Amino acid sequence: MKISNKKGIGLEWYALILAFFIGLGFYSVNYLGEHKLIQNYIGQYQFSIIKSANEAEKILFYIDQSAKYALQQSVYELAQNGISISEFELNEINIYQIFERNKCGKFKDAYIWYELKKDASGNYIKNSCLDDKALLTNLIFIFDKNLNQYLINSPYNIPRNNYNYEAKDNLEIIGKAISSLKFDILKDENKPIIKKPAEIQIEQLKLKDSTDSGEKLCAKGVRCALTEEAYQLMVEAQKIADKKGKKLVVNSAFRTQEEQIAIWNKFASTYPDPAERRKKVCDPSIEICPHPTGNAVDVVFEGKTTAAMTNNDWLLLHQIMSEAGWVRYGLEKRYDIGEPWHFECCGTKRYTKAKEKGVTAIV
Amino acid sequence: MKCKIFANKKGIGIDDAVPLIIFIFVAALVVVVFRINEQIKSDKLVASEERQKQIVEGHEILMAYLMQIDDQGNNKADFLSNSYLKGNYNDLKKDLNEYFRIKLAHIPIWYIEIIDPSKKKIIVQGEASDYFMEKYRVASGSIPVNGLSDNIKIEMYFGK
Repeated sequence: MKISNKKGIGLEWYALILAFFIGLGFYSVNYLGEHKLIQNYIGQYQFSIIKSANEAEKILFYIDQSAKYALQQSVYELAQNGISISEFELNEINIYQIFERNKCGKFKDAYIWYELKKDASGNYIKNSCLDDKALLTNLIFIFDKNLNQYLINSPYNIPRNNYNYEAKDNLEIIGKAISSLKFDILKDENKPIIKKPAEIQIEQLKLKDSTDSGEKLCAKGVRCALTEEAYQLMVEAQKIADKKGKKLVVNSAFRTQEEQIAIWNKFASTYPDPAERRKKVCDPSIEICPHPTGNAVDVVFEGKTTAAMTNNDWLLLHQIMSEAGWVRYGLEKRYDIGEPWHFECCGTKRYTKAKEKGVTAIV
Repeated sequence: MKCKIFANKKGIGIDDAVPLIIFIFVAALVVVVFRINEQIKSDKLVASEERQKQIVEGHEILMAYLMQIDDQGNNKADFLSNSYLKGNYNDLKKDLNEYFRIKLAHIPIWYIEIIDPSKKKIIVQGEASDYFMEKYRVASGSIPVNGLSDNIKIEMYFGK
């Protein structure tokens, strides 16, 4: 008997091999094709928004709490000073906060409220040394200083000088924020960030924003944006300062036009006459102000306020900044005219004028 | 010699069944691996969402505590600030314990830390231990200190 058994492989094996190759084909198509990566999970965006809202709530609570303490402190300080402001209370934090000066000065270390003067007929005439509105104006001035101090020392990045105040009866101060608090939602997200008009404006100006960089050119709470050229000059100035054993701190750099308008408006009650006000603050409606160009900075030495800066400090600061290429608002070797902390560069009106005259300080 | 076999009902032999068995075995294995993988992912997701829920809840409880106002118009943040200034924490500890014990009754392990400006823990209230399998911060807040340019921090932790 001869059995010729040529069995070979059965149909099922062919089917299996075919299935394997079909599977491999699908896998390859999927692997080589475009991948849609979903890195987040359901609810992650919502949670990020909630987290930001919580963060905002914490910061607002901190600000409210700080304002409460700042007001208590301010009332005490104002009472101690006889509702007058001493020069020592002026510092870089509240340069743009208005206050009323005591017109009569001090007598035996106490501020004078009223001055009695004899007229020609020998009658006494009573002159008030402070305006009626001085109490509230100066209270807000001190309040702003104290509040800023709390905010600077907070663990959060809260912008300083960010409130326009309104005082109401019964010692109620309402602060309206100039700029909103900003929070990053989904920091790690790769999608493009939708930019707000202020940022677009900055980009159009080609500003370099080093607020969150490690360079720490600016003080805490200050938006540290400058044009590329101004930024490089500031870095240069910092290098020169380092050699002289000093550290520079920028207290104000780029301001938006809205911020400049807010500063201008802040002085409206003190200087209702615009012509008078223009001597104190730049009017953004009729001229290009230096700060909104991104080519101006307000600088002091680290650890010092403008009030604590001595004439020698101002002199050294001027030397450092002018060596780097900046022009100061003021006069050469005069620190009582202009603003010894304010420097400009890179084609501002004041800078151009100073360069034409060959000076490093100009009003 | 001729041989003819009739009525030979062969059926499927073991050799023929091998591919089918392998196919079923591999398919079952793939399904099991896939299910395990999905389960791990799902567990992680649930754990993550659970933690996020706790973070939101923790924040709400902590803020609600700090914002509680007494009949004199002072809130608990003032109470914290004053306790720090006085250096007397007995009342504060008692208050923290009373409030959070009720609010966090459903959380097995929790504790509250209060940290002074020099980063020193001045109060640890609740069940704080270094031997937890896991502990994580669910909420925190900073409070300015009245009259000082400093702030104290309050942090809430949950543990497993």
